[in-house]
Amino acid sequence: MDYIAGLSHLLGGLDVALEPSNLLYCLIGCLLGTLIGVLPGLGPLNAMAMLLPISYYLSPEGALIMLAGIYYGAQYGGSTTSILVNMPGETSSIVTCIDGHQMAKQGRAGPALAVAALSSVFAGIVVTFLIALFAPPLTKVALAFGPAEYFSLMILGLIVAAILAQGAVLPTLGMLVLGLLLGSIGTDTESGAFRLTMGFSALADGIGIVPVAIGLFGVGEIIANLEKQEKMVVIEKRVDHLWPSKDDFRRCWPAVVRATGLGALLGLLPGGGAMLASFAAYVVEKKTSRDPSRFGQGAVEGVAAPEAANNAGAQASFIPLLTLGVPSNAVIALLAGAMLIQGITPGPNIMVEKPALFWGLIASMLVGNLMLLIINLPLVGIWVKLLKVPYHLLYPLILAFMAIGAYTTSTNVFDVFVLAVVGLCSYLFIKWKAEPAPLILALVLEPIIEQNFKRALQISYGDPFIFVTKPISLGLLILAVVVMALLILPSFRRTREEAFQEEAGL
Amino acid sequence: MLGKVKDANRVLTGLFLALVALLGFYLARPLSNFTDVGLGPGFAPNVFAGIQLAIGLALIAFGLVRDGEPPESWQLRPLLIIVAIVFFGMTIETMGMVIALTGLVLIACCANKSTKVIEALGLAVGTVVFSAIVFVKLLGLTMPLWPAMFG
Repeated sequence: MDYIAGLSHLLGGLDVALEPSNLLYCLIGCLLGTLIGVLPGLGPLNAMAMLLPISYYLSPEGALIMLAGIYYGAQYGGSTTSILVNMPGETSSIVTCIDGHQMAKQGRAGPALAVAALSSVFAGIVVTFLIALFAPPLTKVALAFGPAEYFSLMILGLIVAAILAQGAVLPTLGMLVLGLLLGSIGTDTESGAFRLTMGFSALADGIGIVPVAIGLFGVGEIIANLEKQEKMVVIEKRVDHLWPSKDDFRRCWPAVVRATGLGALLGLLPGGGAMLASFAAYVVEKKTSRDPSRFGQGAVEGVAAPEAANNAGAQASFIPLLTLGVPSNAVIALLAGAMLIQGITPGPNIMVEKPALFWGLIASMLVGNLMLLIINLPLVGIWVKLLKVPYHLLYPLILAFMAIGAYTTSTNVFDVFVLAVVGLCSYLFIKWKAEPAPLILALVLEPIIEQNFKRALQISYGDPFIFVTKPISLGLLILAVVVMALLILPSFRRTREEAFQEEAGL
Repeated sequence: MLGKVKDANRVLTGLFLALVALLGFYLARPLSNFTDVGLGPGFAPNVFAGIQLAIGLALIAFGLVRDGEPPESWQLRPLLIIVAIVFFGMTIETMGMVIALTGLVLIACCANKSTKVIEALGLAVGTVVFSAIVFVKLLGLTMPLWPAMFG
């Protein structure tokens, strides 16, 4: 019943997405995203963090379309470096290195790249339709969510994010709580008191998410890369014969379908997203294959599955933001930040209050995926040339962009110093092997968590048991406890560590 | 000293978290936890700082007792990146983007042993020109180009 309505809304959204200015932003986002994805060390998180300040000057639709394009565009670009250079451009392309680079060594770089692109497009288009179909009913469910349920959902999301982050449990949880503490800096909404601002008026609105994001994920990376001084080896053979063989197609299509479904599911989960989806899809393919020994030697499914899954996961992770108003991972949290900059509060009402924005964004994913397919295959040559630029010439430029980005967010020098401090801490965290990703999620979610907590208590007249008497809230909290227990149980911890080691030991 | 500690990474992380938590407690002292109308502004920071302190202390305890990976050594040169950022922050408003970016790029190039002087200079010029065109002219971001006295 509502499904047809969803599809017709999607057509309406195409109207918005195909407007010339929005088309341009989509193109810019996809190109930038691919470029960022190709360059190792720069990810969609950095790119979006740097472009957040610019998004202020664009229309809401344009800004979100561009930022979204960066996210799923980066999934395309990441596979290029993985296949050609055996270095993942993106965390979600780590798994593509395994079979993709093998294919390249066998002279089959062209088909590998083509398979990656085609799988990604397929996944992207399917998930876009899934969003169109299921977002309206999901939003109705979301309306049954009151403050207590939101609070419990976000607690669950944070804990799941901790499980999915690499690294030992306790340091990861520590990062998470640190993010919560940092998130509480600012002005208390009810009393107007300054909290933890240490006398800096610049902190009255809280610590800026942009400088923290760039510092955490960009600056630390640069410093760590400089220590390593690795040289990148690009495949010297020419990349031609782009089209995959019939045999390739036959092997791939079940893998792609499976991976799309799996990716969509994992992208929906709080804490989920592209990286988890790609890794899970590879493992599933290997386990369900009739000949698992082919994996690692250049199996086409080993490229198709993770690439389909990472696109599916990336796009599906928009759903919790667009329906419930809750970002499910750090990248989407930045997107929520962009909406807030535009003065739009994410929540279940967005679909009704701003249909042009909502459906325009979703329709733009269709457009963007097709753009990426058309752009990417011919442009492979350019990306390859780009990879030949030595890192020591690139990083000062990247650093300059980061500093400018931090400064221009609120035209405040304080943010640049925040960037420096956070960058230093990020370097420390990398050295100490503490995973900082949950920090940014906690930072963004803290105001919402606190607000909902207080509101829930107001509704219950101060009774803290409201969180366990409301059924949905209780269910979510039980899930959170179960996930926590899994985190701590030794047997699961071993499985998790093995999983991350497999991923790291390429 | 660090040689005797079994898992230095954990201990250091725990120490960091514990110290920041204590700082949080200290800064939240003037705030009230409970007021007549509900939770006060100090409630959340104190709760978070409390949990963080507990995690920090636990990490220190585990780090002293259980073995872990040996800590990686530090190199000081790459940390010039931070100096570069600080330079930018100190000069962008007083000296304008051209000087701030040039300084940033040059200091950042010092962070890498093998960068040649000519490359550093070329990068500085290229970055300034690119940023001036893209960020200031095309995107219209608010950034003074030249020192305040020249306008």
